[in-house]
Amino acid sequence: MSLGQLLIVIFTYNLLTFGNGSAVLALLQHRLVDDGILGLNQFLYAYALGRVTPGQNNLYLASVGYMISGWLGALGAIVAIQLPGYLVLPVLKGYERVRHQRSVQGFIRGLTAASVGLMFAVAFNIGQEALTGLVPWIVFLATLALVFIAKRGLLTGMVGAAVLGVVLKFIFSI
Amino acid sequence: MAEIAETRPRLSPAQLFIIFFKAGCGFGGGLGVLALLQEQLVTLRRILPDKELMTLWSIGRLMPSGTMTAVAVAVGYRLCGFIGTVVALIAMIIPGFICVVVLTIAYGYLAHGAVLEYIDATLLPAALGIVVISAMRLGKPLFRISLDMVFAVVACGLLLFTHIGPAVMLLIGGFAGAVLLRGKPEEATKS
Repeated sequence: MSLGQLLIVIFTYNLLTFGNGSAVLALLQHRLVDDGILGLNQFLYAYALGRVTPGQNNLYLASVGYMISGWLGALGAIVAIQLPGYLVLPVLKGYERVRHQRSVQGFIRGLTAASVGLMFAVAFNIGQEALTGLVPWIVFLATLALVFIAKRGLLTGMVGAAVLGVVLKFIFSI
Repeated sequence: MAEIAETRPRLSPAQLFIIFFKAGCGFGGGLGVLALLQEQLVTLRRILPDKELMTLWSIGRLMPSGTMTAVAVAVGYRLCGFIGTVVALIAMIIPGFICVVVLTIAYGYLAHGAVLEYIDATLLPAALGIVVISAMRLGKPLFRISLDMVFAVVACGLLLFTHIGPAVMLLIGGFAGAVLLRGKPEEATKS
């Protein structure tokens, strides 16, 4: 697969699936793995990287791009997944014009409330995957304690709890 | 009602870069990034109200891109004009991009080792912690008996127990809100 073809695939799938990462994943797996361009292990490794590295999950596409076309592939993949984000600008311009209408205000309130529900649903789903033993639970609770009780910032809380987890996992593995 | 204010520049590109770079260091996917962005923009610097960030995130969910991509473009444009969109995106992507590419280069060494397992057991639960904190902070105005809270609970339940996609669920919430919440006082969404 050429670099151009790869970028067209990533851009098109990303554009079609409205931020639904799972749908992009399924489409890409079909196009790249089933067609023999990447091994399943490579593809799953790339996807896992997106989850264990900082930033948005869809940055795993940089890994896919790198595996297929090197640095240019990684950079191109990132540009391809960022470009559709600019569609938000005309949407916000349109919203500015109509936001005083009562039905639009109701729409945004309903949208916002549903978004809060979505955040908790996402947190629940991540929790099902992440909280699989004693150490993950301790790390999770330590993060909450560092932020809410010790009043630390989020990054400090997260890094502090993760370091605690590394120590605990090492101790339990001895 | 949350207002998406006019696009008057209020931050220098350098300040914007620092804010989004810090946010880009968040683990846990888009919500982890959102949590750090909320801390920077709302809690520490008081540049944006909670409700505005939440509205931008909600609209971002409906965009055909990563949600935080749309949020970065919207916030960057709002605070620093068009150049702000580029600065915000680049700053937010750099931490993750470097990590992903470096770990991809190391594929041969790491794919079958215990490093990823360690990360799964330590960073992922910590990231979940900040995702939960973010959801609690941004959802705080809804935590009282109100029609808005009912919307949030129903949406959460439907997402967990049905196969409705997130974008479709948000649109349903929006259209239901246009019918049921139009003209109602915002007792539940005041921040």
